[in-house]
Amino acid sequence: MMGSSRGASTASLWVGGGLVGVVIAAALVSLAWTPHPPTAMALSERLQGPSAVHWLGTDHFGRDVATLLMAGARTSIVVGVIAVGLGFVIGVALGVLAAARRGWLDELVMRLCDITFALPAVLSAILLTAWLGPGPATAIVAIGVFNIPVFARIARGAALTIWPREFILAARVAGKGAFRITLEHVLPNIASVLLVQATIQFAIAILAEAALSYLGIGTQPPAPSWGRMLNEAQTFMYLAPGLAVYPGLAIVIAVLGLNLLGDGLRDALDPRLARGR
Amino acid sequence: MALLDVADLWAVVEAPTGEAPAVRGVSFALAHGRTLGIVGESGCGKTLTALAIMGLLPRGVHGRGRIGFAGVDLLTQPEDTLCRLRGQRLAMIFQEPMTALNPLHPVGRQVAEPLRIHRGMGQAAAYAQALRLLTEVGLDQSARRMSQFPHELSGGQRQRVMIAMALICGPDLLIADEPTTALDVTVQAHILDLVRALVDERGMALLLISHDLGVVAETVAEVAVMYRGRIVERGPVTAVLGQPAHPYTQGLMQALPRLDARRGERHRVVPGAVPPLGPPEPGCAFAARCALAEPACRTSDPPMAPAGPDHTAACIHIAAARGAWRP
Ligand SMILES: Nc1ncnc2c1ncn2[C@@H]1O[C@H](COP(=O)(O)OP(=O)(O)OP(=O)(O)O)[C@@H](O)[C@H]1O
Ligand code: SF4
Ligand SMILES: [Mg+2]
Repeated sequence: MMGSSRGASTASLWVGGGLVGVVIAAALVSLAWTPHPPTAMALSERLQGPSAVHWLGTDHFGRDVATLLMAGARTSIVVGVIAVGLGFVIGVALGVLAAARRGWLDELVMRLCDITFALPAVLSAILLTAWLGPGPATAIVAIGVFNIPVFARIARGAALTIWPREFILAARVAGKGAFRITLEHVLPNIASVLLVQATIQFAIAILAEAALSYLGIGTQPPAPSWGRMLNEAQTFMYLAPGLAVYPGLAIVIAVLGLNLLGDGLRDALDPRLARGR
Repeated sequence: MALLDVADLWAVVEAPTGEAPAVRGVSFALAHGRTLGIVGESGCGKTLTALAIMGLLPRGVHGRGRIGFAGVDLLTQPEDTLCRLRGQRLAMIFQEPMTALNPLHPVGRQVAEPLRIHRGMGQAAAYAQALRLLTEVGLDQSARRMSQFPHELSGGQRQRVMIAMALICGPDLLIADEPTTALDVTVQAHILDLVRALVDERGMALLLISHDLGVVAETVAEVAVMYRGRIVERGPVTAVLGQPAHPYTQGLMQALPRLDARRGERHRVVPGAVPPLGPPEPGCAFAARCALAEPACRTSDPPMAPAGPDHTAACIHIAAARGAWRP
């Protein structure tokens, strides 16, 4: 990024990577081990404060909050990865196709993107719920569809800066067709831009998953989710404020970490800086 | 029959204000083993002529006329036919080899690639052949450089890589568009020697594009001088540069870049500037800058007329003097 020094960008790379690493580690560990079973309820132990047994206390069902946070990280990551992956694959394919073909196809793809983009994401999620019913699949599709135009536009824009480059002309002179050029010359040269965008979209997806679950559209109980935890915590806001603070913090850590990581990657992958001239 | 037979080639730039021809009725033929240079000031349509032959005119520029190559008209061939011809029978090298090589791929891979695409050759065989050719074009330590990236090479080394990449499938025609303009004078001489030697050895046809008369004089046998999209004079290098018949060529000769001129500097070789692209107008395209211009020059376009053996020029003064020259 302009103005940010090399040191600052290295710092964001490491801090961002560290925060994201913590979230991923929590999710991975939760696959094998959690302090308590994620769905174990103990009504006698509900709404406890932090203790040696329950590090971050318990919720209104007596479930262990630390356990829920770890399992919630898993949900966020799974939904985020699939949704962003979906948007990435379809969006990038459409974007580079539009850039390679131009003409009416380009026009069509971009207008479709405009339309998809103009629909408020939450509204389309609610519409989708009416069709698919609530659940993580709905959240994934809603977030994924929202990501398609984002990636289509960024891929098209980046590809359009590559196509006029002379090495593309040289590749065509060597007899390569548009498909091959896109695969071998365009995609590798826009990969860093796409990677940075994917990191940032992942942050947005985690926020969106939390928001959808908070609204009751996404992850359904008893599956653990940060958004659901926030939703359930509001009833006990005064009794146990920690119940809202912890999932909120988890979301902040994940989103902040991904954004820092994205910024750091952007600078690290920027060829003008990377050439070291 | 000539290998390349360009007849009345037009390249028309589509603009919101209408069509502007950038190449206007260019014709020339080039046989196997022959070399032709195209010279002219910046913007006279040299590159567009070359790109039209490659079937790679930019978006918004349309080619008309006929480009005969080995018996087929390239202008009417579908894209997949052209893809097969490019890199295999038609090859082209560019001015700036840094930007013409993919920054993300090792150079060995880039040189070997046409073999893999067109000949379906396996990686090992293609790399072996690429290495042989890189050695042949004089890339020092070629074996080690196979795995280097373009930014690790010097300008001259990169141009050698480009040349190897262009020649690997043994093309019939090599188009070199300002191949040495971005290079130091000494490197320039080496690259030109190399191109000349390779063309001789392989019996390729060479179309060399340059704004530098010295480069053309050293490298090719015949030259065509372009001005505003037209060929205004054409013939053997010795004749055209020795006894230029067209006032524009005479102006170019008088303004030959001096040795102390800075590299890359655009010389305003003839008084006045090339007028911007616009709709076609009647009369000699050079009239606005020509010291010999007469009213007749502005009414009709002077046709190519003989000025010596195999030497023609498009100027009314040549036409008037035609009787004076006897073959
Ligand atoms: N893609 C394009 N779109 C519109 N006009 C173009 C395009 N490419 C070239 N032109 C115009 O066509 C004319 C001829 O361009 P061309 O590149 O063939 O010139 P040139 O003789 O190769 O010049 P130079 O010595 O600068 O390379 C110029 O006026 C140029 O502005
Ligand atoms: S035809 Fe006339 S204007 Fe054109 S070059 Fe000859 S003398 Fe000059
Ligand atoms: Mg040019």
